[in-house]
Amino acid sequence: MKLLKLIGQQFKEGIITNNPVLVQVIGTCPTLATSTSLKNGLGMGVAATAVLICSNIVISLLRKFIPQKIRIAAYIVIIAGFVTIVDLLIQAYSPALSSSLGVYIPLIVVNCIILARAEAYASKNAVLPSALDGLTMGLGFTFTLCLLGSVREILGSGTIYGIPVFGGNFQPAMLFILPPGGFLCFGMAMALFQKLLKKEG
Amino acid sequence: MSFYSLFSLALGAILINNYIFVQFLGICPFLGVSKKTDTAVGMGLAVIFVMTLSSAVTWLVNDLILIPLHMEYMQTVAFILVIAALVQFVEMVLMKMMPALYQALGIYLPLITTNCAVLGAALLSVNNNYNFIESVLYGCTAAIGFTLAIVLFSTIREHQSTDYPKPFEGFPIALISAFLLSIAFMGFQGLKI
Amino acid sequence: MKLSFQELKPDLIRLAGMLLAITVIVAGLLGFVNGLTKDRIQQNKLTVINESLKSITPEGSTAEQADVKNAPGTFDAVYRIDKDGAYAGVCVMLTVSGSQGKISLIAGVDKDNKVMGVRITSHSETKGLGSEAQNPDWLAQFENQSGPLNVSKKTTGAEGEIVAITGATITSTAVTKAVQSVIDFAVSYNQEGKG
Repeated sequence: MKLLKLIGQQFKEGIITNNPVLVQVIGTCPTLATSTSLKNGLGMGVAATAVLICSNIVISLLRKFIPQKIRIAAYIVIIAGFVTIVDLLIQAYSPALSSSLGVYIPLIVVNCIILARAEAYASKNAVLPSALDGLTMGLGFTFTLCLLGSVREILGSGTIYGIPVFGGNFQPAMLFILPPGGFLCFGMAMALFQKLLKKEG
Repeated sequence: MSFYSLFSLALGAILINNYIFVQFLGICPFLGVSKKTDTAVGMGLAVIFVMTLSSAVTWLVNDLILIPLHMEYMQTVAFILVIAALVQFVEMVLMKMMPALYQALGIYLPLITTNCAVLGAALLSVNNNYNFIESVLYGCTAAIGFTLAIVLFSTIREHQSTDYPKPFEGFPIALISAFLLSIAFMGFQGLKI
Repeated sequence: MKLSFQELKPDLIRLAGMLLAITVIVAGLLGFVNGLTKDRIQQNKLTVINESLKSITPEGSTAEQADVKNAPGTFDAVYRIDKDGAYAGVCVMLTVSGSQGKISLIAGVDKDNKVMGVRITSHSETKGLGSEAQNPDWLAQFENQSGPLNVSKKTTGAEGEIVAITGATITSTAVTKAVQSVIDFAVSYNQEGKG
């Protein structure tokens, strides 16, 4: 029972109280760039989470073997390896997603979230907790992407996951799927989170 | 590859496809280092140096090693290693020659490694099939665009008024300011030379 | 770190060696995955081309890649289209510069020098602006045109007019110029009695 409570606590942290994007303010580039629609946000979130879990596991397994001095470089190579695997798999099995996410898939390598979790958690903890950390932080990232993606898609294209929401006369505010919209929604979401979290604690 | 096309490439990288306000590459340092103008300028200069060098070296690695060996899938790994090494090198140089700047940049200097802009420029050069000169110019001017954005932004943040709702304190209000700047930069979208 | 290089050397070699070992293992793993996915990725690219060809050529026609000398540099491939044993037209796959990078498209022109259709196969244009060039409704403007094409911002009903996508004039112009180059090529290809 206690274990479940601990796990639940970690999920809450990853998604809300220590949300990587909205609270820790890391992983912002892909957030702004791929939150133009729910589908893109979800795709990117899942891809990044996959890499995060895999790299956390491997880095945790090797944590006693990787010398201190080259640890960042070693982490980066391992992360880059998994990113390339995910990239190749997406190109092979979902070319549509590959062309919508474009250069942002290889850019998962420099997604600060993955390196930050490797340095802060996986290098210091055992495999299973590291995997769980990867999952919860990844979910937090995905949740943020989906949230922003849905808002931007509804307001900017009038659809949700490609399905039109409003009637034919709705003129979407295209600004939302363009770069300024990214900044605006991100700022609003952060402010909202800051308000919610202040209330809680 | 005329002067005209190179000029067009440069202007595009600095204004039309500005890395921060249009392509969203380099946001973490943009948000993190833009509180004071001098740090912003220092960071910008360091990024220009790293990006120009890394564009050159990654192009060479890609052209002379990866393509002949049909190992294009190693681009991500190879490029990021090159960048990590270059940043390490810049860190050592700064520590010896400009310790004040080294101190001021603090943690953000090694973070240039994870600056999406640096890897992004290398990957985009490859995607667009640029030759060596175009690639180096692209890396350099994209970094100039980044510096322009970050310095502009820092001057705004230095004079930030405090007249906004409490939950917006810190990053959110910075993002709203970025939103306004981004709209301004959209004015360059139709620019054709 | 004020140690001398000599003192650091064995350490550096060991560290570099470890990093190299990790890189080599990763490279090996990637080579393996690359081998697994290579064919499928290639297949996906071909599927896009085949589907685009099918959607712009008349029902029941066949496409065969033709070897063309002195084709413009932007042309990636030229396909001769035959229907019921008779020459029907030519399709060209080409890559041009858009506003955010390269745009790859397939344009087909029939034996009477009229555009059969245009499809965008790959691009990196801005979502919501240049990416709208993929929209079949916009591309339908090109059908049955024989040129000369020109891009305009408002509908005036003039001959050969292509209305640009709002806010994406550069992309619209790039695509229009590309299609025009295919029409020009087709005129000479058809004239040379290849049909």
